[in-house]
Amino acid sequence: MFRSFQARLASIFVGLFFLVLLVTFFAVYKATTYNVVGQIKEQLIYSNGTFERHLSDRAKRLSENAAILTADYAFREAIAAHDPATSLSVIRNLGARIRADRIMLVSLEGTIIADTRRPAQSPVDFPYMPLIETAEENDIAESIIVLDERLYDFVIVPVLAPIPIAWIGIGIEVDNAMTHDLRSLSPLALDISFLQHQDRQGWRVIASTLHPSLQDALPDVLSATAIPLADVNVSDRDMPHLKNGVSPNIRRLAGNDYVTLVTSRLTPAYSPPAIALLQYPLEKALSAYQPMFFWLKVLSVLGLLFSALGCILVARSISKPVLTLVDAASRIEHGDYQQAIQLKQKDELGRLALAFNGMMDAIAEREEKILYQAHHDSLSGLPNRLQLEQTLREQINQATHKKEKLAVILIKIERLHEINNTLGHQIGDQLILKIRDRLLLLSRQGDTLAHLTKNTFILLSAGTATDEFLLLAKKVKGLFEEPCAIDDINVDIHLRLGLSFFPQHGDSSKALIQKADVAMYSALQAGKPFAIYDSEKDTFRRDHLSLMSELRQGLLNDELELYYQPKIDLLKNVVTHAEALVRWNHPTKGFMSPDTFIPLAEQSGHINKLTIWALEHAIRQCSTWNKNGHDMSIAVNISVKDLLNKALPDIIVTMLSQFQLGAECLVLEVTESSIMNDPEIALSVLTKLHGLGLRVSIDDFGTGYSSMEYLKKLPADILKIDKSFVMDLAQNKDDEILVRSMIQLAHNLGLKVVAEGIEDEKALAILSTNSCDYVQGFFISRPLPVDAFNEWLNTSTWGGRQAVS
Amino acid sequence: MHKKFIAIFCLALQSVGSHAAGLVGNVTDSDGQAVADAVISLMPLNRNHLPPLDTVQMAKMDQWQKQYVPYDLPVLVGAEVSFPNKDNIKHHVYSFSQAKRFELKLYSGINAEPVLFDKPGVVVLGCNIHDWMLGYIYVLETPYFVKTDDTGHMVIENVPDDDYIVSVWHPRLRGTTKEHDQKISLQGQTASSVSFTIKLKRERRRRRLPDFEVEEY
Repeated sequence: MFRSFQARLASIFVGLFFLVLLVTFFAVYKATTYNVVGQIKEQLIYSNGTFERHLSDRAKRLSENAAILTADYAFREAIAAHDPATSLSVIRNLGARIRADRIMLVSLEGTIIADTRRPAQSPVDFPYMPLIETAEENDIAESIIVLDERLYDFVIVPVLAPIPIAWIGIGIEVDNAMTHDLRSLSPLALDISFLQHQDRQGWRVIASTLHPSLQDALPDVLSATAIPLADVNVSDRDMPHLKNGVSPNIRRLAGNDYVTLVTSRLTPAYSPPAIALLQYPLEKALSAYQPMFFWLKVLSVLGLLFSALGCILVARSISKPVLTLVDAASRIEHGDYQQAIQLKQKDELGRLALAFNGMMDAIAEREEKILYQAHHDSLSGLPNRLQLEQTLREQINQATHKKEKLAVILIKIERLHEINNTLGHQIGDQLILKIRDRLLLLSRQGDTLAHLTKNTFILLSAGTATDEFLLLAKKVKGLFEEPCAIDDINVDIHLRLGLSFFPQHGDSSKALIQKADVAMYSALQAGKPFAIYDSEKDTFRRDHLSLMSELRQGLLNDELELYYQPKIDLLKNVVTHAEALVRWNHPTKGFMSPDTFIPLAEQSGHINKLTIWALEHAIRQCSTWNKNGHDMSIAVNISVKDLLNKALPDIIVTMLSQFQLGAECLVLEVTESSIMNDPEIALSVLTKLHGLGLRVSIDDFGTGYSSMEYLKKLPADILKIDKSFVMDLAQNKDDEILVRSMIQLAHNLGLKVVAEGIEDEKALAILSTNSCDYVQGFFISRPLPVDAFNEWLNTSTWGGRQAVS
Repeated sequence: MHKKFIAIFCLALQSVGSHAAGLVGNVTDSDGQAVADAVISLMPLNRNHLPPLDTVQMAKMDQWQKQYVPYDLPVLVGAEVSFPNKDNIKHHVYSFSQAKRFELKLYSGINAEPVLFDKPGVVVLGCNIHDWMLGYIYVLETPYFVKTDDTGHMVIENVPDDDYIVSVWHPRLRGTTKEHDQKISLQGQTASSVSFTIKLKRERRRRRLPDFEVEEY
């Protein structure tokens, strides 16, 4: 509800203050009311006593007067005359003398002989004989009684002559005039009402000082409080006055509260019940205190306002510095550590601000450190990829303005892994630092040298011509003709460089770096020291990517086919081997050269599927040939990526058993360069395959940098001399020497030798002379589809048909 | 003094009847207290047996020390009662009773004429000057009556043998005389006895007396 601290604090304190005020006000009001009501109650009780005495006195006076008058001789004589008309006039006269409201003459037998209120009435019995009996005893009886639904203070006295000869009843009616008289006796302007109860109608107002409109509600006051008449213990002979009243309390009348005293029953038990009500309006009683209540309210409201104001000021004095701190925290969040928080307070918040400032400095320092680490290589201290990309972006912008060119030269240290393994990481790290130092010597003003991965640097250079960059690349290469000396060890450094240019090859830092990487890879593929990016060889090009997905589809749709090229055993002069070569008849692009899609498949990881496909088809075909009586082995080319597939040996074993082909009939051809790329893994996988009884052939021998030492370790069975040495064999004497040496070397190592690229008979003769074991080439046969190969087997002199038959 | 009067009266009766009988009796109130001043009378069942009235009866009601003396006075109907005033002040004797309404206005001494009581019944005497003065004259139709003495006893002698109704009356009698009536048959020499228990109203005489005169009474 209250989001801000300020509002909450203010609302809590103002709320509490309000509560205290409320309680105080309530308490004062209650105490005052209690006090006032108490006073009014006392007044009512006092007035009740006064009224009681007043009525009593009045009755006494009345009876005394009556006694004197009834003792008058003429009066008695008239009464004794027993003449109704005379009697009536006599009592009327008496009534006038003593100012009574009603006079009755009652015979000794209890018959009303004359009644001033009912002059024409024939004699009836006086209804309240107990009253007369009292008068007989005491010569006077007085009571409040109901007669003809009127309420009277009634006195009975005898007419003595000298013993009673009749009774005189004298009634003072309790009417409105009397209630006003009674009220005037009280210092308090209270209201007095008399009510009478009839069995059928309930309570009925007989007389009251109340306004007539209020009188109608009076019976409700009584019925609501339900005064049980049984409670009124009045014996027949009691003369109850307004005594033994129920203790006063507050009752509601027509929506207003009155302090009310209800008397006990006024009439004796033989007369219908009547009671009196003494009332004083509470509002009037409290009116004297109204100004006090008013000022109390005014003071309360003022107090509330001041406390609210105070709370807001206090809350603000807290929340303002807090908001300052919040702002500062928000600034820190957004990386602004420059602005220190200015709080002059010396309190907790001031200390908090100081802590904030300290924290800010510490964060800034740490961030700077992290930032540096994030942007620099921890070993060389050179900018890392992150920093390079940023720098490159800036340089691209500058170059765009200056219309300059940029070169991204990716420099990869080859065989670093080997060096680490052989000489240890410490030497490896030192080597990296040496290389860094040499590269830094070369870099010109404005060039940037970055350290991308452990074995990769990038030299960023700006210039105007491509030749300039090529020169630089050559210079880099030239730097490392000298080996590096570390702890008296001379280490040869082999670098492979890839170049990409801005704007030629891209306009984003990421693209340029990637393309330099692609160029480096293509240099590696081509066995060259450096290469400039060539989009044709870029497997990451979009069209190349789509070609790969088409290849996957092609494998399923039988778009690929194996061609077989025969290999002749020169000793037997017959075909004993065939090399399986994959061909792809692309549905839209037509016939595709393996040189186009195999490198792409290698890089994109599709090569595994392709190899398994080729193995399956080749093994099955070879098995068919063997079953047909041809003693044939099959050679399948394996990519270096296949060597990373650990499941490969199992798959091959399964296939061999499936097609019932001996393991010795399967030759796996692996290129020299691919082995040298990751010799360790290649070595382990090849050893495993060799252990299965397969034969391993080193393809394209002579093009790589494989050392003799390494060659010795390889679990190879066959060496395949690259066609570049064979094709010109007939014409080139050097090649012949080289080939001869290679054959001798291989034989010395216990390896068979295959020469590929035989194009003429002379070359065949030379090889045969030099004890080459197998040959293959166009001179013998170009690669053929299965049907054509079978035909060739049947027709060729090397087909072995004769041998078989 | 009044006992002497009754004795004389009784001797007079004795000479009339051939045979004479006697009756003794007593009257007590509901508390068992002896009731004085009660009037016991005998009425023959056959009223023709009443002796003829040949002489005028004379009786006297004194006013002495602002009191009627005696308190009650039984008389035979047709009696003449004189009201001698023995006080040195004047009295105003009156009666509103139906048996005899009369007044003797302010007089002193014996100069008031005797009053004739010719109707039976109770005559209540008052004094218009002294409210507390109260006296009764009980007018009877039979000559056989007597008042109880202070001990509540009475004796009637020389009553002719006959069947009678014995009645009791008292100024403060609560209820009627009739309800206390008893039948009795008087024969020969033997004295019969009768006993009455009556309820009394409160004494009015004393209540009306001013305090200073209580001692004198």
